[in-house]
Amino acid sequence: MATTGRFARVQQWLQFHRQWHVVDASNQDVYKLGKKVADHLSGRYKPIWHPESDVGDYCVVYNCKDVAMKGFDWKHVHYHFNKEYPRSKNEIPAYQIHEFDPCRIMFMATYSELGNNLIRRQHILRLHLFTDDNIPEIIRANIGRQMELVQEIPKKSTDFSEKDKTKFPQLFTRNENHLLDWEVPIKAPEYIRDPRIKKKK
Amino acid sequence: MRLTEVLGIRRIINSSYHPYFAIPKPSIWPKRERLRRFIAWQYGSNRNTVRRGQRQLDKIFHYMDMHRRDELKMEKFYAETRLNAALGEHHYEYRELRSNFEKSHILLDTIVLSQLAIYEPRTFKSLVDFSKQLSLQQGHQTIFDKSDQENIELSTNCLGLPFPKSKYFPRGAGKDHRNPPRKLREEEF
Repeated sequence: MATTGRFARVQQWLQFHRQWHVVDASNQDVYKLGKKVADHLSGRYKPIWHPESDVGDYCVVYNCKDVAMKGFDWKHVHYHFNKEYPRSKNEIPAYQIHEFDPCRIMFMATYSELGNNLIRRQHILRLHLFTDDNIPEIIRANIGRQMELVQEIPKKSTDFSEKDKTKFPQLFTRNENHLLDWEVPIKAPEYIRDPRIKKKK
Repeated sequence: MRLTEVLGIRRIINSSYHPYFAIPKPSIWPKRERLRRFIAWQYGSNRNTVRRGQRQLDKIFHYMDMHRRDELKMEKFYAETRLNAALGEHHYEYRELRSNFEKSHILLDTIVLSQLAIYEPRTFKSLVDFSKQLSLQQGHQTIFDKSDQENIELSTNCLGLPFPKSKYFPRGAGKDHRNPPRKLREEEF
């Protein structure tokens, strides 16, 4: 960094200013993305980091409703809440919280990764979460940098174009009337009344 | 007490104190000023009162001693965090860098490397590029920039056996009893 000259103050400003980062959460693991976002909020990704001086940045995360978890974690990971009052114990699986509030899981993952310190509350205020890609103009005007994704997005078989599908060599011969798994028409099951249950008149 | 007949001066019989040449008592003020130097940063009674301040002073000395003992470990911890952050910007890992530096006999500590990363970023980048070139030479998977790697030329064989260290754990590196083992990452199990 230049210490003298007219460019010196510009360089110092570039070194120490607070940046706005944006990231798309769709198809990304919550906890990995939460760790990365927490590092950006606390400033740990910067070589000038110190725990007591606030060198953190702003982060905007959109498409939180499409965030992903490993394996069956949506069902198996339970969040425990307890307010130490009578009847305030709760053990809720992650998918139920996600149905109720799509941004909550992302928030909780980021908050826990920030660490248990006094400055955590200041840092979490700089996080902006959005359910879909509808970001308000006020926030969109500030965004300066896009964060790298945490995971590769896997390509589904339906994402391949028809051209690529025809190019792929045919390994099996099929009937003309053969239907692939996702092309089979779905039949709704018929409701059969249980004869043991008698309606009271 | 008796009043003498001629002068009418007050006289205390068998007093251990001389009535006219009293030994001055040392002032307590400097001692309290030295106390206030430390407790000025406290709140409420711990700051305004002497008795509370003296008890708080004992705690302050204990905290200062803890800080002095932790200073070296904290310096190493900050250096490690900052170095990992700087290497993250170049998409590189510490273990690769450290192993390449040991083989090529580059004696740079984490503290020095973190200071280079802050104050001499271009020097740091060239060091990282050199380490990446060695990784490529050994066939390790590395994320690199072609135009940056073109600046690196390895004319001699840089890789050799690392220098012997001053301390070895007699039961092996895995039996380091000083620090508890860290949590495994997903890739490691």
